[in-house]
Amino acid sequence: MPKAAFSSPKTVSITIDGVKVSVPSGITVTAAVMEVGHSYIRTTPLSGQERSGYCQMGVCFECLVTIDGVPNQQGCLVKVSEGMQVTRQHTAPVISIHEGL
Amino acid sequence: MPVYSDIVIIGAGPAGMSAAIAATRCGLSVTVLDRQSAVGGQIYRNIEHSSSELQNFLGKHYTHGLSIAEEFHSCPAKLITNATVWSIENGTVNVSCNGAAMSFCSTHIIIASGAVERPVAVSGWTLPNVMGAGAADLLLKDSGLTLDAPVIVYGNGPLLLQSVVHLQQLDIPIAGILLTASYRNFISSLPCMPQALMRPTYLFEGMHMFLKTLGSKAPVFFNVRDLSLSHEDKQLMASFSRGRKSHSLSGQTVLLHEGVIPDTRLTRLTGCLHDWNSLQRYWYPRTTCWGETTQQGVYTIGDGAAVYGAEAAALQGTLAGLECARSLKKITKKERDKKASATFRKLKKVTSTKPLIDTCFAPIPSKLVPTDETIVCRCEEITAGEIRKTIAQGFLTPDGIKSQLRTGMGQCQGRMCEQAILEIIAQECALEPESIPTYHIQPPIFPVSLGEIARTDASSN
Repeated sequence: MPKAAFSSPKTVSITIDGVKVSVPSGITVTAAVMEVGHSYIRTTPLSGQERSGYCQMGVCFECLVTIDGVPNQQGCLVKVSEGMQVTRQHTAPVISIHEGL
Repeated sequence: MPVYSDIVIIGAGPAGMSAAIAATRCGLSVTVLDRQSAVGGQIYRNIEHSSSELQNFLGKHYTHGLSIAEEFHSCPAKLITNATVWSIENGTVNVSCNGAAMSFCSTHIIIASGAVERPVAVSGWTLPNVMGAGAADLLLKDSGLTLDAPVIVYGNGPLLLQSVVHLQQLDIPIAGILLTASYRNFISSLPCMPQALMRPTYLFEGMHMFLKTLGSKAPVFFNVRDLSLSHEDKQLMASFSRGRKSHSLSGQTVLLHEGVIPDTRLTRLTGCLHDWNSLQRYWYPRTTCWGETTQQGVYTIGDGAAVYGAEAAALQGTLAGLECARSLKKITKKERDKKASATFRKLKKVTSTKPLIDTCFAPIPSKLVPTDETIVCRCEEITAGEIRKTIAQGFLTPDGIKSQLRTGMGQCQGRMCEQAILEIIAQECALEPESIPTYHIQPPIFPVSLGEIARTDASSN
């Protein structure tokens, strides 16, 4: 699995898919999912293909994850923080029509 | 009500930060918006929070960003991070910031939104652990993360060589270096060499990277074509051809790169005219030497205006900042020209290597055209074969194909498929992409919730 070669010795606790993990502080959510050994970040809503981040700069929208209950967040643009709950998205997340109104 | 400032700058990379520094020095009020959580753009990503070990590893070309960031923070410009610009209309910039709606307005908008890696649509590029070579460097800068080895590297361009050198320095095994360039690239770039000698250190560093790549322990292949990736036994298999021979390699990670192209979403949204760079095969906004586009009050600088690199971006930023100060009557034309003369001299020097780089690393058009089985639109999972069938039915523009197949209607809004679709149409219709219209860009250019749009309207009324 990808290694954290230069990251901070400090760690934060987050959950990924409900499992508590400890990851270096300051890294992105996408990096955290990779660092703990997951082989993909989401599956596609159309055919269930496994995908992981392609661009790491907010362009490809492949690293969409649910963060603290909010779906479709670009994991490469968000840094991990203590207690954060990350869920990998399988198929299309259900979005309430009342959300954001 | 939208918040007014003399200038709104979009992007806090070297170009945006330098423009803010120059403009505030002339007494202008400046708001700087950036999508990331900190300044630096992609070239200096995470510069203020990266470890000293990483800064030492990446060297002075990276740490130079620290001094720009420091100067920027000491200037009175207002910085708003996590700010995604989703529309610009009549001088109003609409922003989504941590789920909240914000608006800013100005008579002078500077777009410094940078460049993106050209998406390399090859068969199997949607598989996990296949990513851009630049993306791998961003993982390193932002998270200090190194990749699963062995790594297969494919494509062309200076960033690709840089990635190889980084892998070597980190002792990450490389399974193979597959270069799409042919020796013809090097021959045709020779006439650009004398001009590039204005920048000897840069040339020397480039040659050094190239020689290190050639001297890699891993096999190096030139003139590679027909790359196809598959997933077998928990490994990525790369099959490709060179000359008449077929080869295959296996690895854990594949890095793809065919150069960097300007992100023209915002300049297209604001209706600026664009020109086609036939060597590097990208659209770029038409600008004056001060960065002003064909739309009054809209400026663009840095790699989003044309890919010249970080040093040039910072200098262009200074020029745009000065020109805005002149336009807003804070300084006279004479004062502007006096302050700008040294910057123009430096800019001439740092752009002297551009013809050499563009020619030497020119992508080979036939290698940018995906094969039929390749997924081109990653969001809607549409293959090049389906796109070709639609072209044969008479849909000859990206928007026409979109209306039939939904290409470009997914979450990335066409960012990943547009280049490949242009190349497919160009090949099928025997046209230069120059004569093919691009996707029509309309707001919101990033996904925002309806609630945010509703709140924006309420706040601007």
